[in-house]
Amino acid sequence: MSVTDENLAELFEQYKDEVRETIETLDNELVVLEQDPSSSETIFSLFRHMHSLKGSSKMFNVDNIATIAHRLEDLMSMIDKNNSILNKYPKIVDLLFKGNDIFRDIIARLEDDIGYTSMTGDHLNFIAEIQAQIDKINRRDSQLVDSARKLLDDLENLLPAMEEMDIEALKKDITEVTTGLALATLEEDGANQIRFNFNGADLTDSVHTMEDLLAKFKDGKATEEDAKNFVDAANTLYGLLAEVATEDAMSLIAELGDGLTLFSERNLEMDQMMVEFFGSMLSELKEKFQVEVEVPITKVSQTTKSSAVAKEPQVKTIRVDEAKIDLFLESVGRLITKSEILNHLQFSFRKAGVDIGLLRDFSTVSRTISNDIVNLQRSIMEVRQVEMNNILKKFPRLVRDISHKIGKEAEMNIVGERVPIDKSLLDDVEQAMVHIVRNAVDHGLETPDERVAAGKPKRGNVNITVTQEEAAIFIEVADDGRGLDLEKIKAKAVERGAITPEQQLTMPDKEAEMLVFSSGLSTKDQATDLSGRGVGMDVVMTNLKKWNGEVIINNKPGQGLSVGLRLPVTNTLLTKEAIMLRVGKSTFCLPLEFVNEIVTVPKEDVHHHKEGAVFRHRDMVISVINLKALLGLPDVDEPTSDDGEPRIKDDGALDTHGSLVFIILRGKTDTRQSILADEILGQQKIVIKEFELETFRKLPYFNGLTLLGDGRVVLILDSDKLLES
Amino acid sequence: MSVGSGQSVLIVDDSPVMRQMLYKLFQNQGFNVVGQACDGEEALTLFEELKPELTTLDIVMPKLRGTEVLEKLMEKYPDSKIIMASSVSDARTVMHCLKIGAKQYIIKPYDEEKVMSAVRKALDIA
Repeated sequence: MSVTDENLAELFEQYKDEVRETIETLDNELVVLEQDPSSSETIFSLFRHMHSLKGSSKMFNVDNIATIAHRLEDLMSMIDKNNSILNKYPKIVDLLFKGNDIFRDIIARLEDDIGYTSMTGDHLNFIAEIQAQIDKINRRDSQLVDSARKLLDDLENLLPAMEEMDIEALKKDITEVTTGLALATLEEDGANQIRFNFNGADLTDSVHTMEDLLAKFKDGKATEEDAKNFVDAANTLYGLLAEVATEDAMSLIAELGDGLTLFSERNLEMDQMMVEFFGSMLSELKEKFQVEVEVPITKVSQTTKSSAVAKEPQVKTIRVDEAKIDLFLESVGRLITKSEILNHLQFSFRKAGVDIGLLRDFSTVSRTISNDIVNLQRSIMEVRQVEMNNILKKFPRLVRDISHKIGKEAEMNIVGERVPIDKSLLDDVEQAMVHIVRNAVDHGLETPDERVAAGKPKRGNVNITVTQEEAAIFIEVADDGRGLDLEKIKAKAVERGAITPEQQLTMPDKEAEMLVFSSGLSTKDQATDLSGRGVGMDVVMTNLKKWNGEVIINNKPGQGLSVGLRLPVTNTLLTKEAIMLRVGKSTFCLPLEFVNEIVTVPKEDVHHHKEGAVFRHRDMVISVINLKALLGLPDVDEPTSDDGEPRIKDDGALDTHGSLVFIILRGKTDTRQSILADEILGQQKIVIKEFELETFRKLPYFNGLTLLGDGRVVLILDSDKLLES
Repeated sequence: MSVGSGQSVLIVDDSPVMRQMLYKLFQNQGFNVVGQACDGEEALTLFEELKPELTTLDIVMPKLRGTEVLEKLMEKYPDSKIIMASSVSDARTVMHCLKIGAKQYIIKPYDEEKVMSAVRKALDIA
């Protein structure tokens, strides 16, 4: 190819993206087609996509996709001309799905092996499968022709019995029909090149009508009316067959001749393909003489006009390597740390007695910089966002495949495709959703019979709704199946040793519902290869926890189950607002999102029990986590900064004279717990660094560290782990 | 030596990657790609708006097929220089397009040489 190689290499990525998108579109359209096989809009769209796929794959020398798409395009073209084919051969949809899977596989392999473009044995087998299907369709039509021919033989034998009727007209019809049939039979041989153009269903109808009427003639029971009907049916049959062989094939040859003249006049690029095409076509025509090739373009174009395909918004985009964006973010993270240094400098300046005007200017500049950096960070985060559709478009196919496999009927509705989500969340969210949707179809939905017995529509619903909340994305997967059988789940959990028999009796429903997320639980007596044995749900939970995701289950036994995932948007940010606190000599920070409230309590109001300290706050008993005891720190209350380091202390820091400071944690349960701090040092933005060393990851109550503006390293408390302690 | 000397070109194809490829090709050869349309209707609108000196036209597209676009354009602007660029290789379609006025017809896969050769002939560039 003389389009420069660099150009091609650059465009190749784009090509692959385009094919991936086409594959998703095809998947969804196939799901639609399966539900409504007569949708000519969908059929044409599928044809068009196969055609495009063939075209662009040829350009990039991806022969395997080009070849397969070409054959599927042929198949779609047959269906486009005769919708009834799909009703007769519903398995074609499976074939198309399979083709799509092969495309997907090829594109995936091309990632690692750019040379994976030729046909493999599997591909050839698939082509043979398509060919077999095409042959079947053609053969079916020729069988029809055969039966029509037999019918006409009978008819000729019966002619004497029809003397009183309008025999002349009938004879004429029959002669013409016979001619048509002769031509149609010829077509059978050239089935690959020559496509049938008549409507099989109509043909069958008229043949049946004629058969019935002929039976009457044979029995001598035919009336005048019957004879008229017979003539009508014969006319229809003739008309249908005439479509196959109207024009004199010689005129086509002449037309082709014109074409060739036109070509040479225009000095057209007579490339190999064109020559071959015309050559084969001419020899074919000469060999078979009168058979016409008809590609009904007019019909296709009408379909195009009527189908108002929604115009896809054209977004001006550039492609940026994800790693580059991460690099930007990292730099911004460092900038944030630097701007914190500026904040600290303010305190040092103030201490050093710098001119108040200068200090004010400095503080303004420092605040502006800090704001700008936060805005910059937000913009970069937005760049990383993609639409939920990236995940969602996979689901109609998934639901279709699962429900088919296990003999259920399911319909999928999706709302919220445009909601943005951070790319880093994508994989985990998708994994979680696949599990949940799978379970909904496999465990949630009943079989069609069960549904009918329960007074529900035969076809179950699985709906995905994605909504954007102020600081979170909420994804809900709701089905109208049987819901969770909590007693069964609890029994299974006891059997598997996940809970004790005592717990089984006392466990509140809300907790029992969450059991579906624990490992090794599968309430279906027979584990299927779809939902597996419950392995995975726990993995889903662990992954979601990483993003501080929350799972909300709404179980309506007998009516359905809804599983909601709430993912805080802020958690994808690398920086967080955090409370800095001092415990003994040590400083820790605690992300603000874990803080419910900070309270000071007079020492005498804190009661000490064997199990630990508690205090009352707003009519609630709040227990106290003693970090010093927990972490084995010396039980002293010594302020930091003996070394002259600037203390992080906002004006808002609490005066703790005579009182104790407690940070009440935001827990996921109703029990309230708090951390006892010696001092709250302030609130600031921190850049979270995850532990890189395995040793640190095992630290029981921390989940990372941060670098303060003054260079100190501070551990970040993990509220979840503290609450579990 | 590039083939073009700033002539305006409209590219019509429903595949972004095909458009991109033609765009690069034309820009490299000294043409000025003034517009890109992704379906037949957009092709008509952009043609009216831009009156390009050269148009490449795909056939199988959403909304309006390239053949219909060609018919409409030739009726209104019989002097338009239009090159059909499609993977439809059916002889009748090819002939139909040429009969009603397409200057050239190139079948996918095409390369730079093939496209430029067709462009030369369509625009009478020596």
